Amino acid sequence: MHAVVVALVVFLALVAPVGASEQPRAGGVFRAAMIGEPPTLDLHTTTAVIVQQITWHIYETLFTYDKQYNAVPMLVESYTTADGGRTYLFKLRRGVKFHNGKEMTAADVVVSLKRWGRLATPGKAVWRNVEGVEARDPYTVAMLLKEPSGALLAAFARPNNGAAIYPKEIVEAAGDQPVKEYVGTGPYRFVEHKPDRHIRLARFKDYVARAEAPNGPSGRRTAYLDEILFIPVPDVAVRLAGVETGEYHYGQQIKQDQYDRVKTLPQLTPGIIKPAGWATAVLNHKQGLMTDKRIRQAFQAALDMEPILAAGFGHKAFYRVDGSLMHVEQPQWYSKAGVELYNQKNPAKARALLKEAGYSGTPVRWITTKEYQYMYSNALVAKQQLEEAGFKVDLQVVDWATLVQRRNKPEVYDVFSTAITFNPEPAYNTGVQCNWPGWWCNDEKERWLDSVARESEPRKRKAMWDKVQQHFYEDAGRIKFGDFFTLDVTRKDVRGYTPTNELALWNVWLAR
Amino acid sequence: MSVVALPHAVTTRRAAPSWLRLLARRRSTLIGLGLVGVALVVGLLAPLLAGDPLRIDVARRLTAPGQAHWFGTDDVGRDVWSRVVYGARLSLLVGAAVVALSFVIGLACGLTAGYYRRLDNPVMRVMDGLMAFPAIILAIALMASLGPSVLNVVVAIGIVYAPRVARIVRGSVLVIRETAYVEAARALGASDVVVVARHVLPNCLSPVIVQASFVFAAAVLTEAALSFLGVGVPPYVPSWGNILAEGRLYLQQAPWLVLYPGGAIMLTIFGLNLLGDGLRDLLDPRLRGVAAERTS
Amino acid sequence: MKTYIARRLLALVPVALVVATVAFTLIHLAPGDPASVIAGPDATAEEVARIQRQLGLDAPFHVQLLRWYGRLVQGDLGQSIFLRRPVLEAIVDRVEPTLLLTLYAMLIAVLVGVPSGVVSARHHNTATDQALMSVALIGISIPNFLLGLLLILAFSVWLGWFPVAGYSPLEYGWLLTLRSLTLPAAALGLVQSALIARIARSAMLDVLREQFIVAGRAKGLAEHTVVYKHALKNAMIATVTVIGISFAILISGSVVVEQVFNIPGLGRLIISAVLRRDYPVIQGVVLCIAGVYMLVNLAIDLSYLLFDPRVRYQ
Repeated sequence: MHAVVVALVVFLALVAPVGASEQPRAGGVFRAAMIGEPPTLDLHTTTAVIVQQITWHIYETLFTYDKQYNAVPMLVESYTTADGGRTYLFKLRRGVKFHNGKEMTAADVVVSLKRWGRLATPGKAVWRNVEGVEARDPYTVAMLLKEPSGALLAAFARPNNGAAIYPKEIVEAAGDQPVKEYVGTGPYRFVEHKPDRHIRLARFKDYVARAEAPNGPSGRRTAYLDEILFIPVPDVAVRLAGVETGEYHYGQQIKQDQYDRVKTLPQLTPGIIKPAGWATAVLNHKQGLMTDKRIRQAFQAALDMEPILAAGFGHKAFYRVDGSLMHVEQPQWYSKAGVELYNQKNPAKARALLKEAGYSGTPVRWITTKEYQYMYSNALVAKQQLEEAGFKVDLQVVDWATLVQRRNKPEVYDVFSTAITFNPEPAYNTGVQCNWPGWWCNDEKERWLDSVARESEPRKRKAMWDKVQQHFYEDAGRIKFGDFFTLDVTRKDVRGYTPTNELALWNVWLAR
Repeated sequence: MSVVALPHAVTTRRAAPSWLRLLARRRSTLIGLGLVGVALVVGLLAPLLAGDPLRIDVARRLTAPGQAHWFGTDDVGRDVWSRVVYGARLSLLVGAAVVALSFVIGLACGLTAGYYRRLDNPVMRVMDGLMAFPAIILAIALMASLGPSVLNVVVAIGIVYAPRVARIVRGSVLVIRETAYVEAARALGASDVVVVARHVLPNCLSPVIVQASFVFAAAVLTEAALSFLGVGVPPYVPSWGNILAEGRLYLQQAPWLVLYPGGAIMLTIFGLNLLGDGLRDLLDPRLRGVAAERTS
Repeated sequence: MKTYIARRLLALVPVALVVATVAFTLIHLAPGDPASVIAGPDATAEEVARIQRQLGLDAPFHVQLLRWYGRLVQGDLGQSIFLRRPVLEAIVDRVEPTLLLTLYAMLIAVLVGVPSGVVSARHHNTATDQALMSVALIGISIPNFLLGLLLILAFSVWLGWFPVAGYSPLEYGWLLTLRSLTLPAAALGLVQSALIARIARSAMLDVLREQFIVAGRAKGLAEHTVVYKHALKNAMIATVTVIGISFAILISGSVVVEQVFNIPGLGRLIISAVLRRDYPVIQGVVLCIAGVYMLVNLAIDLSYLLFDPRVRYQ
């Protein structure tokens, strides 16, 4: 009898804790420390990553990516194509509820897609090829294209500035102004936004998940957490300190210099997001100094990327001096076209170009921010290099929300800082879009981009993409500084979290 | 703050040599003078003593203090010693300019309020109103309107401290105005301007001079605070406040970024306070005590 | 006594008027048209016009000023442009951390400063006195934000006793709140305590020289009775004055310290308002703080009725 009891106790002692820590448990309020305030919560209207990171818990799209970056159905049940790929028929899932209790139907989808096509940068690129979109019946949406497109589904799957599905009434009430209510079909619903304090999301009890096992962001999304609080913490030192002390469960964009230290702390798990994207200076082609090609080329020639990246990302393991617009991790798109104009380190050439352009010393107005610390460091180092080549630079430091607003006004700047986050589909890569601040537009380039979008044959697509990249460098469309990887930090009691650029908090739970 | 300024015996004799001797006798005042002197020299000779405070050298970022960089380098490789030296220059410039501006305004308002009975109330109410805003709050608000630049910082801090000077001047003037000497001058038909300039002004200067050191210290502190908060001088101007603001991100890895500029601020202000205390004890023994302690 | 109170209240009116006017003119000090300054270079003409209407900037100056007074009397501080809610609401939201921080700092300042000053005065011109006053002098020479950074270095980074930054709201437990506010309150309070110590010492010294103290000693009263019972009470007037003024200084000092420790209080509110050119918020916060300052001064003046018999019979 004794032995049985002992054996039972031992068995329970062995089994119980193992079971408890491996099983996801529902509950808890997750506190995420973000770089700052988002400029808006309307996903259609901006490419700012922080907006996507917060709102894709609220909104869903027709398709989404799996771990291999294939576009797989999300709100769509199934789809067919017809007419040589010019017509898509999307059959929607039934019974998917919005947070306001309404069921999602084709009417909501059509209206949301149209708005996305009007307002979003990738949306506008896609819409160049769209003949029309209509609801065939309450659960079927038809999309008619001018030419077949190999990239349409990827465009719908794209999280950044994504084709979120909103309720029809909310879209119609807002028109082209930002939406007033934030209602979607996602696993978390919007509760409140207290500027400078937090954005509060709560579990959506009537969420209808997909049946498949989770695969990247696709598949079943389960809301384990009761609530998520996104807290703006613009000071990177405080962000990290807050995660160390337990005030936050997660801190994004931690200074890479801290990596060696963070590795040694027992209560923290560092997450490296590789690649995160490429750091860039976006030139204003609509108005101002950068409309002159020679000045742009001078800007490009003067820069030495290694110190610019080192200042921004510290640790050598967190950046790469590489000119290709798609990353080395994407071998089917990695290109060396035009790269001889990348990282020229040639101030003499810059000086000559400036002289040729008749540059008279007007300051180059460069807007940057300290909220993404690396943007400020990049700009500071680049400024010195440019000034040595004969430029005058007026560096203006503002908060990120202000920068995102200001970059829409061509009168007020010549250059602004940002990063182009990793995206698997080059056709809608923000860095080469015309309909995006900076307004780098060129008929030939747009045609090549359209071909990349429409072609299905991989070699032809790559050839077109090479042309785009070549032009990016010859025309000095925008300035790529280099690839970078980011560091985020979670506490050890956060389970189910995989570090990605997009920040997915569904399927994440807090251990006891 | 209710300062009752009691001027010492009204004389028209200049007492220069003897106060210098008295000053030298107090050791702490000497230390203060020494520290301030060092700061002055460093600030004035900045180009000779230091390299380029703006020179970025990313390869050498965050190096600890050593041979090549006495105070180490910051996160983009700028030499901290140079930045601290040029920061001294800026602080001294701002301090001196603020003293000048606040004294000009303060003297003008104080003399007017003290001498012309009918203007006393309105002028002093305005001064009281300005003093109802704590110094840094008013400075921040003014900088919001004026925009970041060294000149605007001087103007903002000058406006903040002018009322305090005005109040002291007025107190002096109120007493001096009633003295026989001044009455006699007026009886003899001297114009207001002459009376004020030749008789009132010189005699209310000593409490004012005592304040100079404290206002200087307050100006240096306030400028550092404004720049630290990001609403002072523009970020590319080396200021002790700016350096501290950038250094706090690296408090654990590179404490020298905070310790050296911090030390510079402390020593300078410490020196100015010692000097101020010494001057006050010297020029106005009766001011020693509750009434004369500056409170902000 | 009643006339004393009445006179004090009446004296507030012109000062309040000046304060309100100064706050009002802040918008107009900026170079350029106030509406476009507020709207920012990123605004379209319609946005500028909207701000003009919203803030009533299209009316002539004196009309605006009168409207401003009118709104203030009703307690309407306007609407924040960035936060899109009433300024008063934004302020009330953030008062808790600033108030707690100020009170905690006040406690530290008084508990450290007053005894130091009194002890220093009691042992006038001894080594204790010199030592304490030297420390005090260092104390008033160090900016509070620098002390804050040094405290973080010592007590958070090296010793790990306190959190590096951040504020734990009361709803999560007052003990956690206190812990998160200790370093910032120390940074604020210790600097202020140096000032209080110096003044308390001066006040005590002055009183100790007075006739009635000498008489008390001559009567044979014990030294500590003389010091603590008689002298201290009389020195309280000056000390209370300084404590009161310290309160106002601490509120303004918290602006800087909140930035160092990332505390979401009034300080952070006004700094982010400045960076975003959200003038209604700047005006509102500035007015509130000045208002508190005036009320504190009034309270001090009225407290003289308790401490100084001479005032009562004026």
